Amino acid sequence: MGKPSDLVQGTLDLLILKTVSLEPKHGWAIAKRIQQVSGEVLQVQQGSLYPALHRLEQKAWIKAKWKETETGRQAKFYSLTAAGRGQLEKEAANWSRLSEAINLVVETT
Amino acid sequence: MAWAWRFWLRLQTLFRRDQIVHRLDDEIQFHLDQQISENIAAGMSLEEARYTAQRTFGNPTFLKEKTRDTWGWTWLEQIGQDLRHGARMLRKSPVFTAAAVLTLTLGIGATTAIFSVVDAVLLRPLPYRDPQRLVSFFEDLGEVGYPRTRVSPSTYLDLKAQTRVFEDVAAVNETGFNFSRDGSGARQLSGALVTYNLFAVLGSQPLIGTGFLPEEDRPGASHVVLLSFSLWQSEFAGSARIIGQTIRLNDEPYTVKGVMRPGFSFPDKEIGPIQVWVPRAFTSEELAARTARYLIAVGRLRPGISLTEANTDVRVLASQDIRQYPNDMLGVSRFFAEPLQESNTHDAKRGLVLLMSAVGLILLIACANVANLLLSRAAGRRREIVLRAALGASTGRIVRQLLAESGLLSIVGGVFGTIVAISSFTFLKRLIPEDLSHTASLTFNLPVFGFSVFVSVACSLLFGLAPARQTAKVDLNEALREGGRGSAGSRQKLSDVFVSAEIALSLVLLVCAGLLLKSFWNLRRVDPGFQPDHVLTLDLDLAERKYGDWVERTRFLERFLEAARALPGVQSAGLTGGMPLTSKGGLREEATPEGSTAWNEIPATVVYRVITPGFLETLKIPIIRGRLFDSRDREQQPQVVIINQKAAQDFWPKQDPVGKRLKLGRADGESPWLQVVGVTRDIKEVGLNEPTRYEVYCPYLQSRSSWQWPRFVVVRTTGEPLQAQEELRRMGASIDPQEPLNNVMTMNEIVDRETSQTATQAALLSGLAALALIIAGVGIYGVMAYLVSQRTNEMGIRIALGAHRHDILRLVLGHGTRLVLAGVATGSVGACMLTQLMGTLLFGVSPFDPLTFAGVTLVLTFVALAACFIPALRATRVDPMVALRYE
Repeated sequence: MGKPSDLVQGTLDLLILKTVSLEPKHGWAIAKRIQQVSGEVLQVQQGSLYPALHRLEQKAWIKAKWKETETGRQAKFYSLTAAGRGQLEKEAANWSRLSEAINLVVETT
Repeated sequence: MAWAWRFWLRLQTLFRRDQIVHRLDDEIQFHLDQQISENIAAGMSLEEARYTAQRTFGNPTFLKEKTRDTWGWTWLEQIGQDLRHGARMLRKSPVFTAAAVLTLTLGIGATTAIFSVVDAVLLRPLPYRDPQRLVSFFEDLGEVGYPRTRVSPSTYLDLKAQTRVFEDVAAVNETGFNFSRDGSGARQLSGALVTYNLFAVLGSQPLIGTGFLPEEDRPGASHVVLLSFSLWQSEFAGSARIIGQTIRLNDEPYTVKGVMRPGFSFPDKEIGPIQVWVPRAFTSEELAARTARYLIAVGRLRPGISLTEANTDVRVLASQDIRQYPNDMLGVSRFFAEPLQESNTHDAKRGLVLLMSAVGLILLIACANVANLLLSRAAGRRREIVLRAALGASTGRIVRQLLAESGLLSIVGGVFGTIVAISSFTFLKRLIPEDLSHTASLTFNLPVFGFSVFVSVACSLLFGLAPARQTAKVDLNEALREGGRGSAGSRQKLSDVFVSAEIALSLVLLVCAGLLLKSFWNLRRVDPGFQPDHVLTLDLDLAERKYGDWVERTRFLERFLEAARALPGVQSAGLTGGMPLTSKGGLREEATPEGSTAWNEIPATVVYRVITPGFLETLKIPIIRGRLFDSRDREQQPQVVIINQKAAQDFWPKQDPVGKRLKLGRADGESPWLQVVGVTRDIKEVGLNEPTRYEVYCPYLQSRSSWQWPRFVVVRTTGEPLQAQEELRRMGASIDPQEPLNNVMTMNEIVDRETSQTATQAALLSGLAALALIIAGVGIYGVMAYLVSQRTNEMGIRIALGAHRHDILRLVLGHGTRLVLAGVATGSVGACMLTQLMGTLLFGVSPFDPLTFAGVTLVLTFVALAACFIPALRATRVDPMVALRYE
């Protein structure tokens, strides 16, 4: 399990927005973070992160900046913009509505 | 804010693309390196760590491409790729490219050139305020052959009173003024007598000074004048102090009130732009003469009033006038208004529409030809296309790729074509009718540019789309099985259609050109009835103040004639009140023949002309019965006339006309009976393509009361007529230096003017038709040659199996003949539809002239079969061994 196509449509955006909302992160760190936090359940194919990141950047929901990492290399750090924060709230709300609804259906006997 | 940021990002991805691509590589490399070092930390070997990192990442090339898609502009990038690739492919086959570009250059060039004329003459709005509300008026005398006659002063005043539908109506007629400065020699200015409101109606105010005041066009008002810009520049050095000064016109002082803007010339005149405008006053006699129809009337519709509404009122007015003045309004069926723009372009429209259709056909032929070239080329590119398809290019992408090539072709063709069009302007100026040439000039403007761009784009789709779709339609399975050589079945069908279409279109053009040539030939063959060679013509516009008196004028004219006849090299000279073939309206009068019952009720409409002895002799118009005018025919003598043959035959059939009498006007009118003393041959009076009319000649010395006086001089010379010009001028100046000789030209020039427009049209159309024939011939040749080359092994097998050479010849020629027949059949139907529209452009030839159709079909078939014959011959020479070795 865990191929990106298995993710519910649009959830990758939500995951990325949520992940970068705390602090600026580069792509690899975002992938790692999603894996760890989800308890290794969500295995994002790492490469597919990049089209999504660039799409969100073009929509101005996240912005990117080249900065030095602790090891001294240049990396592209993504952080949430004001518009992105609004989008995150919206998508998060959507998500809870959806998952509640699915829960209801699944648990009703 | 967010949108501005997004826009900024978009621009970045467009203009800093290379840098961004580079950064994406860095970003992904960083990711991989991170993963590799983590993997190593987890205890893998370097090799293993690298491999695992790549696996967890996925295919970087694919993902990079996906990422680039999110930046947008992929389409632009693809177009750029397609164009670059297209340019490379075109450069690789220079012969094909040159042939296609040349064909397109001719097609687009011809179309753009003719469109620029159409734009100048028909489309560009007139340079007046709200020109679509301007109308001009005509009296319809269609019954007697003059459906678009100018209006009389009284009709003008009646129209002006129609204030419900017209804001205002103005009237103008052209005249000449003798202009002299500081005693230097006089020269003629072209002028217009106008009602004071003309400039307000047109919405054109003077550049400096003021227009005319209402009281200035009353009888007895002081003399005032407006100057044209060019006259002001050339004669008065553009000095503003000219306002309020006086200039001398016809030896009388006129106060300059203003100067019009550059380019303003109303009415447009054949001989040159109007230079002075003078207010005109109608006398009560002029207003009473309802049959004197010489005014150009222009009106401005009230806002919101349609032309139809206005015409309803105008028609009611006409029927009132016809009821009230049945005699004066004889032959008038109605008055009508039409848009000023239409009246201006009336004669030119048909010819231009025909030419525009012709170049349109040329363009279609050119497109069909290029399409065929593309199709043949596609055969050679089959491998390339199959390879691209096999590597995953979609059909759409391949079509786009091929369209980019045709787009490039038409862009280059369009650029060259436009250059060709612009450089042909000097020649094309001749297509603009003379009376429009002062306001309509050929320019490369926005509409013309837009048109050429539109035509180029339309072309590239027209000739590119079908071949591109055909080429891109590859069945990989089949293509690979055939080893990439491929049969050409459906492609052949498509190019067959193109060839037939080319033949059909060429036939249409050839027929039109043939009919026009025949019309021109017929026009040239028309006998004008007189001998125009060695005849010089000129006008005497004697000043009204000095020569308004009949006796004074007669003295001048007689002295002039005598002196002219005495000049060496002059055989004879005479005067006339109307020069044949110069006044399209003709000089009309009513006449009632005595004792002819047929004409008692309605008088005949005759062309009436006051002449002196010497006129008929100079033009060599033969007298077939009776005598010429001579010195006997003067005042106090029996009043006489000479009539033409047609009048003699129709007025007094089967009787001797000499000695019969007729009178001008109606039977009960007051004018005296005039005795016929001679009958002349018929001459072409108002135009070579007009029917003969009744003609009545009166001797000047018996026509004191006539409003017409013989101001036109004809001189027959022994040598070149124009050489007598200087002597005549000197001679004229010795009689009165204030009176210049105007409009000096030979009678041959006047006759040539009759045929010049048809000549230009016929020449142009023949050129276009020849072009079409060549393009189509080359097209047929190309397709047949291609066909033969495709079927080389088939031919080889046939020959090997015992087919004779002539069988092969028949096979190929049979194919060609089928195409030609299909083309000729379609073309004939198309030609029949188009030639009907030619109508008045033709003279003495039916739009369905069987001889023209047959001749054109013959020529076209011959050319087409000749084009087939060379490839067919080549097919018979196929060596079976060589052909079969290909298998």
